[in-house]
Amino acid sequence: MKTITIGDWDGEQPQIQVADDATLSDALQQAGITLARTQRVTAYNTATTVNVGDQLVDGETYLLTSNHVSG
Amino acid sequence: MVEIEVSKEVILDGETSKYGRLHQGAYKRWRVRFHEILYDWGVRRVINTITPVTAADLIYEEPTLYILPMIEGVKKVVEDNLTKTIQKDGSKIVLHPHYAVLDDSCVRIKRGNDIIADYYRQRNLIILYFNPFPYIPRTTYFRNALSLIQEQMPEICEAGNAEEINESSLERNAVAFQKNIKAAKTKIQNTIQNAHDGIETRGTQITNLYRDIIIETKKLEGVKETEKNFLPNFKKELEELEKVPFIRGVKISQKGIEADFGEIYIKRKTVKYYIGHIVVLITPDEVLFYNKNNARDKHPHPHVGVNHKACFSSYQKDVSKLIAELKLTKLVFLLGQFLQTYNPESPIYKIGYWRTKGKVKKIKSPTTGRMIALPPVGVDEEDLNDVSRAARARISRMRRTR
Repeated sequence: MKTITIGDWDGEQPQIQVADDATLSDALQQAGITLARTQRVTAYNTATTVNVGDQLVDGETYLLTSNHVSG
Repeated sequence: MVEIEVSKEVILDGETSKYGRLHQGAYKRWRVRFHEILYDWGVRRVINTITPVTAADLIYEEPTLYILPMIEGVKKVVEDNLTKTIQKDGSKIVLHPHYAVLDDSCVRIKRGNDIIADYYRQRNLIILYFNPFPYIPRTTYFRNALSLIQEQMPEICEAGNAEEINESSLERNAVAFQKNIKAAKTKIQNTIQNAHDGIETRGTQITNLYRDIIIETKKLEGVKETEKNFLPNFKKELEELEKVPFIRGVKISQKGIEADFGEIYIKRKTVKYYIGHIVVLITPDEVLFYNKNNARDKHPHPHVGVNHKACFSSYQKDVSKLIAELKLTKLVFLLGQFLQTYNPESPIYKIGYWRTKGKVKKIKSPTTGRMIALPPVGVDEEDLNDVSRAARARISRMRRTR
């Protein structure tokens, strides 16, 4: 099992336990979070975007951020 | 008495200067007699000129004699179907031909085959085509010609003509006046509409300005709060900043806050591009990006220009807000996101140039002669899809010549 934190930067960030092979999508579902079209999930430790099909890293914090586009 | 208006164009060299003589010496008696004859006819104005006029413009309030004579006593030649007069000094005078009949009201007066006058009843106009003021006064000639006109245009000599002319003039003037009223009405309507549009536009502008005032007032309150507790907040933010996992180090200087982001990579589809060792300088006004080891053609990053300023696009609003509120931890997190993402639709410098580490190879462009950076070999097809077809062809040509 892996332990991760997931939530909005300024909001609640519950810690949840997920299966070893769980993806981000599973984690969102478990946390009851719906990802809006204007949002994405970023891993706090690396500031990289995480896709919904990616495997989760134990101990990582996943934050919901705006889906910004650079120019 | 009838006034003679001699136009200035009449005062020319040669034969035409004789027109000036009608005011002098022996001509004076003749001129007076001529006036009396015309006056008896009802003519109230005489215009004497050799300058070509546009007959269509000739409409007068009162019966007018327009003298456009053939100038006599000179040599005549025909050029371009036009009879021209050559004066004794060699200069030419173009004689105006008889006007084509303008309207149905024209009565053409002839003497044999010669047209000597046109009478336009509804224009109050007689155009006289012969010269009543020859070099040598030919009284008999003129008297006969005038008698001929008088015979053929008896109505011009009658006072009753005035009423019909006035009626016709009134109608013309009324139509013109009505047109002016319509034009004035349209102009006023347009002015009113423009004023309405102007009010609407300004109303929208005022609303937007009020909205901006509200937003900026809130921002100001936030900034004032930050300013009030600046030092303790600043210290706290710096401490938090140093704990951010992907920041290697933080330095404070008079220039601003330097955050070392370390080695930055951008993963794009199956390729992981090494961008370089990025350091970001955060100042109260802006954020500047520096690449310590792998800038491409002086670009620190695909979305950063040679002036170290980024094209933040949709990041801009949040970046500005976080700087103003001094939320440094959130700011560097956002900048970290920015540095590790690539928007293929609008980069400043395409990511393909960071395909391999090391110095960028440059060659001379065959078209412009300037040195341009060459994309490294082995660029994935997926990356090439970002490049236009023309650019791909250019890249292939350049590689072949390397």
